[in-house]
Amino acid sequence: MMMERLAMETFDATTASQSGALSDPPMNTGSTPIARARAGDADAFRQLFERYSRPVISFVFDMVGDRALAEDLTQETFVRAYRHLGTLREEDKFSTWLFSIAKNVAREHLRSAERRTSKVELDDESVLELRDERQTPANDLLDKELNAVVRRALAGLDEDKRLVFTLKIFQQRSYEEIAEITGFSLPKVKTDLHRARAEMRRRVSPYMGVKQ
Amino acid sequence: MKCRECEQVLEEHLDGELDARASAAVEAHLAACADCARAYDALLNEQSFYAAYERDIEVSPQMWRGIKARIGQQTTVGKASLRQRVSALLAPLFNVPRFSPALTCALVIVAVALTVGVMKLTGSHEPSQTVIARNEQINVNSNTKQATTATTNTRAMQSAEPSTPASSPASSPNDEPDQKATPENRKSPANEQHKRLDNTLNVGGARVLEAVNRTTMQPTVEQTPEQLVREAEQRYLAAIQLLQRDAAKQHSTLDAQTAARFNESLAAIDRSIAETRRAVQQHAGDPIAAQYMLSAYAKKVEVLREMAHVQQGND
Repeated sequence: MMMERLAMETFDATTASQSGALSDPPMNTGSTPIARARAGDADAFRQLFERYSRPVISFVFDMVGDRALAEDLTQETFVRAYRHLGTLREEDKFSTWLFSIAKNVAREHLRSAERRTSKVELDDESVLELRDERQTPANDLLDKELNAVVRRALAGLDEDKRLVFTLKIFQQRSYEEIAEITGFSLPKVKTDLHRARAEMRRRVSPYMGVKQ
Repeated sequence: MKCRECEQVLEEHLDGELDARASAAVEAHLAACADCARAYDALLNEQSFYAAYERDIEVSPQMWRGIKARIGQQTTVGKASLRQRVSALLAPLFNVPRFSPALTCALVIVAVALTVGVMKLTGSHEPSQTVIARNEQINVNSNTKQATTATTNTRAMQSAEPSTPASSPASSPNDEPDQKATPENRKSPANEQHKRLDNTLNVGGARVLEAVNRTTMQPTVEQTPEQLVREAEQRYLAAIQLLQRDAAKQHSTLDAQTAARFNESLAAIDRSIAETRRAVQQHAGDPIAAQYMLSAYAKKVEVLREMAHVQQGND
């Protein structure tokens, strides 16, 4: 699979050099999408957007809990990334760097927003009060309920723990990457992750095993 | 391995963060201990539960349109992209705001001319505060400014009329103050060497300006602009080598904070020199790239000379 992909990319690069059209070049020529985006190529930056927008918006949504807000903050993340692409020293750190920006954007919003953080109590019955006027199959309804449970539980974590938990559990980042993105020390990452897991466990364990 | 030890690293083992040896020890314990194996299974169940979590959020087409509208349309053009890359590299050095290419070229030429003018004077006569004021015109690195201001603001300075870049220091009125026995003006092998270097750079600097101005016209048969740029580069390198040697000898006279700021400035300039040299090599004949490279060299000489001023003041 990898050899086929490499062969395709080499073919694309060859035809692109002949036709002058832009295409996704092979990594070993030095003109990666990141390098081209740094040189001001908007198409190359779009490639980066298409590759990273979904994980970034998922991460931002987990942090702020609001769909429209997550879209807006994700836009802001990519705009900042575009403007500061020249400061990126190592191309292979792009993903970590991009998530650092997303983290900053989300945190800035959370700290400036005038909202009361509400902690969901374990016996909060509103967790299960999902109103859906459409006829929904039972499994879909159950999925929605469980998703809502996780969302509420996440919202109940403090910011640092939510950050670390999201990056580890949902974004599959290593401890070292989490430390880089968040600026936390490695011991803090491990401690916060352990405590976040414990808190999440308390909130979601009644609902685990509900779905067969 | 005991249960207590296993419990402490179980989550790291699940996350794949243990080294091979520790991981093997945990695996061996889990195979032998039912309680720990149950705890590990519980973690795996949690993992599966979270893996099924869906956010019901998609990336809409409007998102890219919004981003594009905010960043504006840019197309990839060979020299334009090079200019953007080089100016992005030098932006931290000169501090944004950005200027138009024409204004940037004019500022670079002014910077080179000013640097040559500064080098024309012997190091002891040019007031550091005057140099700092000139540097502010081109947004000098703030660390350098703070370092020199902190150490020179109590020194009494002689003002001297700046000489023209073309004149030789040997024949300038500045020779006479050299004979006065002040810390800055005392004769030393280093100062004499600096004077000879100044003369060399003045000539080189004037020729560089001429080469830069001639890049839009036909080059002469004798020396192309590229050759003149290379020659100027060699002169700058010679000056830098000399100044660095002197700086290394007297490094201990600087306080730690000032030394750190100078080193930080020099490191940033070295990175710019490396990048602009690469740009010049890749785009031979591009006057903009050559100007940026020479400007970076001039900046380094300027910083090293400031360091020398400060060190001499501390002696």
